[in-house]
Amino acid sequence: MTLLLALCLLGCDQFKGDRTSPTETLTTPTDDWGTIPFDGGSPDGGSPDGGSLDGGSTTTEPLPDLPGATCPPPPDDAVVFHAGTLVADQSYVSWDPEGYITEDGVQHGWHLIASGLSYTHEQSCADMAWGNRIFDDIKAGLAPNEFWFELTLFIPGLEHKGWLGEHTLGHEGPYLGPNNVGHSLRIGWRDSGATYPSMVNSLPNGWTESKVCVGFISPDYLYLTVLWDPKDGPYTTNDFVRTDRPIWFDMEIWPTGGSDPSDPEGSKHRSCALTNSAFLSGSPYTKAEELFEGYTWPAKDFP
Amino acid sequence: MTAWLALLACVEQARLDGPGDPVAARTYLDEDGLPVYTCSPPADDSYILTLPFHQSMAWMDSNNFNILIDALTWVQPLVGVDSKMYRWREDGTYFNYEVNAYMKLSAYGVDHPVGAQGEWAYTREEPFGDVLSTKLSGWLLWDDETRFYTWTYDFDGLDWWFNPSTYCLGRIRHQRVQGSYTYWPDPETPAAEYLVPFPVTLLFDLQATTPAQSSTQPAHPYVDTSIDGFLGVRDLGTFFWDYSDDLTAADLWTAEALPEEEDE
Repeated sequence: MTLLLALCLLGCDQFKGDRTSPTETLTTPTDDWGTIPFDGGSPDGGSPDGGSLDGGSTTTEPLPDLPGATCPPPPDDAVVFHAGTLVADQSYVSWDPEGYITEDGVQHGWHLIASGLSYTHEQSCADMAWGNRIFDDIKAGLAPNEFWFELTLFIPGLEHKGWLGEHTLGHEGPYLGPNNVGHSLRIGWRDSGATYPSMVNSLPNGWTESKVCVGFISPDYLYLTVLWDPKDGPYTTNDFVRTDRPIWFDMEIWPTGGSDPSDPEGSKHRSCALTNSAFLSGSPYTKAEELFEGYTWPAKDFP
Repeated sequence: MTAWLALLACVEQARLDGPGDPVAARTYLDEDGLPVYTCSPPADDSYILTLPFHQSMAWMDSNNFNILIDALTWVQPLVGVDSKMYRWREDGTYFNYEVNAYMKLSAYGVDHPVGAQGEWAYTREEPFGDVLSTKLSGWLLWDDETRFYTWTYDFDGLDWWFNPSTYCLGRIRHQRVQGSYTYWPDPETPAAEYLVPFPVTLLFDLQATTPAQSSTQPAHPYVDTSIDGFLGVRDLGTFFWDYSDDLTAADLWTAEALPEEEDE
């Protein structure tokens, strides 16, 4: 409960009022940290925009008994949103020293690819996974003041405890090699009346700064926060996307299939997430569950 | 090693120095003892894109470094499903405002891959790279009605598709090539009507990432796993380094493997 209390402080609906474009002028921040009580999960499936920390749960399973990490709050001047509809693939992998996955894999890590929106789409995540349709409405200008994102993340290590916490993109860029924590990030939007969408990316050489914080990790539930900052790099002077504001968002990820697929607004159907195990001989593990011994996750019986 | 950096500063004339910024000043030694070149940032009038997904192959051929790149500005939605049709959906529509780029880069006369690191400009007046020859084709899928096709073709300045461009290779390593490409549209080219009227910068950091490979089906798949060719898990592509029989990665990627003369 302590963990989820901490996570709630980062994840409740208090940010909804600050979903302006990064290129718009910042008004008064309305965030009020530390005052939002956590009720342990709403039985009605959570808020439509995915802002609640109960993950839209329709069950009353015990809270996950795994360690988590407290992630930093967004900066005062940040554009803030919560992830709604998303598609995510997490993989527990092993590598060989050469960087190939082979029968001699001896290095381990956790890899995540997450694509999502700042709102819950009327269509299910599963239907939109094909062809990356998840981004279409925003790119077409049909969802102003909303965002899409694509995050890739790799964290080496054999223990999930080591994957928790904040991970900064180093100066050298999004290196995802077997010995390096790395990520790549894109956040896009389309302002009202704009002739094309805007997007920012994590760039190398310190041209931008980005941080991913892993608050909770398990085979069936993840909580992350993401911070992108233009620093004084190209996006502060670029003709297409000019912004001085950081962008912060958080996301809850869980497998689809937990409730009625025809009701994405009020169900776990807004989140599609598979879990992959790529452990090879030489690894102490053969499947993801063994990394989380003793953890009985609510979604383990999902198809 | 100082001599090595000095040599980098003296490379071919086609290499572009940043504004008032000689090559040597933008080169530093990484923790692995090998040099890294800091590429110029994107210009203010560039549309900036990155290439998170790629399939690449690199090799040394005598004194030449070569790399073939097929890269996307987006993450593949599903791996293994008709992967050759990167930019099309099953209904024939496209991934808009995205780029599917094909590049072949060859650096001639380098004894070690890091000798290809640097930055080059290609203009109609000087279309031929002295060290790095390039060929890039690609699609910029701008919207539902507009497709932009090949941008820079071969290294022939008279080519119908030729447009001024810069290439930068900042860090070349085992299963990793980091750099950038910028194209400036030439309004005088006969193909101008097919090109976006502004520069586009592609920043890439091509690496080996193959978590999709798995001997088991993923848990909680969100699409039909019975589809032929479906691997289940998205990844960021592959990088294959082809080494000759008498050369291993461990041998090549050390400071000691740099050409002898550079240490003089």
